Amino acid sequence: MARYGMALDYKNCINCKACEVACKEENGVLLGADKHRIWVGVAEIKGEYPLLDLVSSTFYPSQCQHCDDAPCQEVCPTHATYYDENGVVRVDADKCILCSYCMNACPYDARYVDDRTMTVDKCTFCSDTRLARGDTTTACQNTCPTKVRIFGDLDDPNSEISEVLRTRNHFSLKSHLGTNPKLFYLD
Amino acid sequence: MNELIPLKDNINFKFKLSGFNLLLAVSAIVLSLIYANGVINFLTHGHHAFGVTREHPWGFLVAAYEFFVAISMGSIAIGSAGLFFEIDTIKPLVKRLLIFGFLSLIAGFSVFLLEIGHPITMVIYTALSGNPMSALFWLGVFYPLTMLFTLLTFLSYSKGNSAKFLAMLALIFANSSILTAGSIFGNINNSPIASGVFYQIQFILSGLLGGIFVFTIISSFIHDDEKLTRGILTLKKASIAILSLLLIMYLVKYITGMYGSMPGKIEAVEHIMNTPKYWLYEVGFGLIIPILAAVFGSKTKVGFFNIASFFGLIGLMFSRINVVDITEIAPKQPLMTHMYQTPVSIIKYAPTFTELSIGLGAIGIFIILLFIAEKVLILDDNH
Repeated sequence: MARYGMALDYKNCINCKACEVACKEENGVLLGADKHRIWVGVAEIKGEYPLLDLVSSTFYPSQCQHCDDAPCQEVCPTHATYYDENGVVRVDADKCILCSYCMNACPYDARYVDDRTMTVDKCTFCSDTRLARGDTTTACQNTCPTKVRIFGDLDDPNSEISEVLRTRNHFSLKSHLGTNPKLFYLD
Repeated sequence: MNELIPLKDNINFKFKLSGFNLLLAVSAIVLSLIYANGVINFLTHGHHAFGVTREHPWGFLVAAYEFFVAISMGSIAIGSAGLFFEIDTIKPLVKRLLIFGFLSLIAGFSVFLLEIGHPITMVIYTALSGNPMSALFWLGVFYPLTMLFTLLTFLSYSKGNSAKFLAMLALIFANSSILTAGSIFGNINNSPIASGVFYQIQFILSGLLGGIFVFTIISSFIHDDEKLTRGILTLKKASIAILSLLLIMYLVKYITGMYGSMPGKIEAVEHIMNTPKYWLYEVGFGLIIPILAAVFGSKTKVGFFNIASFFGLIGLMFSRINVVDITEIAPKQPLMTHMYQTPVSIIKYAPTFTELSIGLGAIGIFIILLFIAEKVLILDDNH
């Protein structure tokens, strides 16, 4: 058993969206669907033309934060949203009643309705695809050309992610809500 | 059969051809047809027939369902309290209030079951793997218990202490249900405007008001009975206290909502306060008109309170529309400050014709169920 998390060296992101493509391919996400599972946010360039601060344009790759205390899991009436043995927040489609409560409760806007199954889906850290096959990387991490993503076991002190989180400053999104995300943004 | 269920000896469905009755009959038929249209659209296109989006996943159907639940729980709470506490002026109304509550809950379910994507899965897995941390799970527990004890109270109405005991349970579970319905919104901790204790209390108080409004309308327009009038006058007095409390709660909530311009909260408050559906409908129709009619109206007659009850119900419906809206209109990004996605403006949502058909059409279902109940069941003590 592991406790999977991901560190994002977001300043390296070039917004090529290869991660989105790889995720769609690996996990069978609907083509053309926007912000399903993962996405890249764009911080607007500061300043006014012609005095634009081009360096201020930053990209923020994001996805489900796989919170240790996930609001979506707490509100799910049927335990369709659950933690698997690796601490990954997952959805049992058979139990999902499409009440959309998790979509309202998620502070990160990370949940969406899969139009094919009519259930609420989300990023699974490739648990039922790559990890199930024995791989130790996610599709988005594996494909990223600038190595933005570091995925691994947070409980393993020798893992790359543990090493990075020990040695570099990082922050989590909306940490004041007490969700304890397992996505970490590296400064 | 008649010993178990208080059925009338001679059942016929004729009614007095007054203007109000005709209006009610035509409205019920038209609204039921509209409801059928909504259901057909839903069955044809599924959830795609609704205007809800990823950013605004709840819409008019949740609001309509909460409206029916409000008047249901209000009716049951007042009726069962009247029986349990032996309030003489309310006791003649008890059976009607219990049946009104029971039937409006069924009307609410006729909306809710279409809003939920997989209602059969809901029944199965709420029972098999229910999550006690979820407010929605507890609704699934409390509603059936409320329905059960409401029905048992109605059936054992004349059985003295056992009826009072059942009424107490119906009262407890009705209040638990409406409190939990409010918690669905109050527990969303990522919505600063919703998170907290306001909606739980507001749902209970406005639910009681809804019960009073529905009963006042039906009793004063359809029945001309001295006993019912005395009951309405008692409820009218009670409504003054409830409306006053609600007005104070609104004042405090929106002052604190504006104070300090808290990100994520102030946007929602500013948006909702700049719409007529808040000031005109929720506050004006729902609170101001009823309290004026109750305070300044006749002390010995129903007076304008029955007309004000119409406005009150419209206000109650808009209060439910607004709670859904205000919980969702502020995008989640502002709390993430600068490090997430491009800032998004207030989220837009407009119900589709299908949603309006189902939500409003259920009023027709409710009226027809009430009519059948009036004609089939013995609802008067002196029958």
